[in-house]
Amino acid sequence: MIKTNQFWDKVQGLFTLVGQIDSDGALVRASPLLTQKCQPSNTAPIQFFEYFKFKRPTAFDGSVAAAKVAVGELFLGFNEESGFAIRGQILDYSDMGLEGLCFVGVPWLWWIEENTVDSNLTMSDFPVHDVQMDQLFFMSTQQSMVEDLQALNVQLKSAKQDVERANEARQKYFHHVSHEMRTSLNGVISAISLMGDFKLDGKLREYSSLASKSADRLLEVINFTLETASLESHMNEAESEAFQLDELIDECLMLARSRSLEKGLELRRSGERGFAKTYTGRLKLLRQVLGNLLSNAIKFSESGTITLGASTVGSHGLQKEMIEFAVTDQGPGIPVDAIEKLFEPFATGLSAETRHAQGTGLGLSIVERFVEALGGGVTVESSVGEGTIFCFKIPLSLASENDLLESRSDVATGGGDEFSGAVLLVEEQKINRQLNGKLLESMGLSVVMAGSIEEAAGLIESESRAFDLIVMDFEMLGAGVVEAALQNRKVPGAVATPILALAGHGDGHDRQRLAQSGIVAILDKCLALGDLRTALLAHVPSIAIVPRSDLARDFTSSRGATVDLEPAVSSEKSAMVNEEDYGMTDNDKSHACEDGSSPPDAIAFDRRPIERLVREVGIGVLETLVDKFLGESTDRWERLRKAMADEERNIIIREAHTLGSACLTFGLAAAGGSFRQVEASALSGGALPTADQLPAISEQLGLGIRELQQFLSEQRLK
Amino acid sequence: MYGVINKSLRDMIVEQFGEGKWEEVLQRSGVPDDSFLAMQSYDDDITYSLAQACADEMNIDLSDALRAFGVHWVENTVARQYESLLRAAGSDMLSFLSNLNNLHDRISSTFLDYRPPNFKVREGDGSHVDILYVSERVGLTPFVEGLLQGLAQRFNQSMEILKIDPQASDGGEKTLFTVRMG
Repeated sequence: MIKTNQFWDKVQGLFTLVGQIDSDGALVRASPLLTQKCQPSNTAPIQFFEYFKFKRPTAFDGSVAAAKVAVGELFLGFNEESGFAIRGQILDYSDMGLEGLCFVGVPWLWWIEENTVDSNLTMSDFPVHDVQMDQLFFMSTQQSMVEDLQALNVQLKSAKQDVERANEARQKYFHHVSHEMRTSLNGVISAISLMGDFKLDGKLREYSSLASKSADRLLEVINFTLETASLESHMNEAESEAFQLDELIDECLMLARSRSLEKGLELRRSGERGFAKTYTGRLKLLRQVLGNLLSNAIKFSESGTITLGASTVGSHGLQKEMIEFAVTDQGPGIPVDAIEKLFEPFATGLSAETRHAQGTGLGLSIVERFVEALGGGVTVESSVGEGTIFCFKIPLSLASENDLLESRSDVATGGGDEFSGAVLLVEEQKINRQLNGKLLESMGLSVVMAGSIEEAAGLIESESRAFDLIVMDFEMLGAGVVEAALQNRKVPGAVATPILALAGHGDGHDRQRLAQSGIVAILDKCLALGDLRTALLAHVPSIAIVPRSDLARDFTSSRGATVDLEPAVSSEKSAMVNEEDYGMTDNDKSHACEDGSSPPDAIAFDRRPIERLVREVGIGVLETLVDKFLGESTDRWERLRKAMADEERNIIIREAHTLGSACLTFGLAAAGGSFRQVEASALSGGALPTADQLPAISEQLGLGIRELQQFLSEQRLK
Repeated sequence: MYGVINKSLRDMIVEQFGEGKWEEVLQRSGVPDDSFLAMQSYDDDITYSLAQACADEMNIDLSDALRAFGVHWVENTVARQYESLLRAAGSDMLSFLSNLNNLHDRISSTFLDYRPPNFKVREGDGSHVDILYVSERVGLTPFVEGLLQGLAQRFNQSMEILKIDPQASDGGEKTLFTVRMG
């Protein structure tokens, strides 16, 4: 027995459950609460370790001996019959000369709350230092917190769906309005252009010129705005991918090369060379930033040198490096007061000297936003009359070669980039040039475009990096200019740059000439993705990213045709183009782009060619090109009509050829065939076609265009 | 004050007058949003603004609005979320009020920003009970009045507030309630 009543009272001041247990395990003395709950009727003492089932200590067998061993451990016991549970410790007073064990503790609140309807416990049953009541309060509030968060989650989901719906509706509206704007504006531009055919008085000529410039500028702003909106809507979706910095910089320089050449500017690389390291980052954003800065530098410079470079300026954590990019120019510079507002939308920093450059003022705004998204900030240093430097530093994660291969493989197998390399696309006709350029880019190739053989030759000789492939109009090859440039550029012993020629069915294929020209294949002028891919794999396998066997398997399974994958560069065999391999299917051929004649029952609009283009270049690009076609066709139609009246054979051939080619590209089968008949008639050397044929063609053209526009509207809604 | 207070105020308006009325209250209060989290501490001004907006929106005095809120707090919020604690704190109004400081003390160990009021209960000559309310906050005496009414209803006791006597206070608020219990 604990004989000191004073000590017993003290213990009860700290614990509401206190019990003295004798050496046989009987509860011989208990605090009021323990008495009330365990032996309220003053019956014989309970066997303490039998009355309660103990959840803790874990291996406790209910004996006094085991309880002595477990002194100091947490005891959690419950009695289901009474609905009461205890929580506390066993004290052993034997070393103090006192008999038995002592339990000190409190009601086990959680068990009681879980297992009884009404515990009848009050706060006074828990000593103030006991935390169970605090826990109960905390858990009650926590439950409320969880409910709050669940409710918020529902609200957020709903709000997100609302935003997505609104965004979708906005996009549709935006596309619709922009399409209408561009179509109408192209009409204005064409009409103004036609006015140029008339002899205008001084003032009228001045107004016409002003209207033309303004319309061109408006079209540029609209196109830029649309591209910006498209980029921004995808800004957050841009995913990290592995890339090599060297390649990225070379690619950006190459893409800007033709524009710098047009203005007589030198474009070169600065900073470190040989960034052999591979990085991961949001490549699409970075490429856009560098492209915009280079484009800006070229636009506002009239002379001097433009450089793009990158340098490592430190580490950023263990796996990241800080890379500084810089684009410099020797242009007119930016006045100090304009620098502050330079990155605001529609600010251009134009001075009186540079106002003619007419920037849209959106490029730098995009640069700033994208660089921030990349984790950096843009700075600008400029001196009026000396030039400007745009710099930004961003952290880039180091990656392995495997990451690079994996990244490229991902892209390729995902239906995107399958090839990597620089392509020079030479095509006189603007729409075909842009359309084919988009197709080549969609396969992952960097495309530099030239509109003439002279421009192409200049590019071949000036580029720091040799082109991996040249794709050019068959008819342009005959002059030998490009071939000469390639010969000049060729490094002794190196493999000749392969050429893919684009030709119409009417073009004769002189095998000997093909072989001498380095042509490895001839494709239809209206490139089809599948045919292009096959030709590249067969004849330019060095630019394929994924193993050839993989692509071959994919292609074979999709086409059900066997493809010759043996490279055959510069051999006569390769030059002997087999149309079964590179041409179209029989079905395609019946609607061939360059089909020389129009069947009597040709339909005004054939959906198949344009459906293919939607799949391959996307509705946005296609709409832009159709708008350009519609804008140009008015002009060309007028020239054709005039040439027929004036009996200008060469102009008739050229305009009919271009109009026919473009019509067939966009599925205007009847009109395209008719233009081809006009061209063939003029080419035959006989009597020239007359303007009498034009009303019928005009009707075919009008009907086809209406159906084409209807088709594009349907695609937009999809 | 903690978000649980603001949420309770919102629930009262929504339950009695609908979601639309709450939106009007929220707009009138100038509080930007009502995504309150129960365990997060918010500026007192938010609660005061919401209470004032409730009163203005319903065209009643602020004290009437706070009184109604006090009743709602006991009958709905506390009863729904903290029933176990409510039961543990007492089986009648006086024992509950006597334990209230103890309860607040325990809450303070979990809610570190908690600044609870203090209640002193003194039984008089049998005909009345004195309840001294002391708070760091100003203007909540009507809310306490509502709390007392709500507690009386919860414990099925009749109660009449005989006198509400503001006391001198060095900052905050001190009020002596004289009540008669049935």
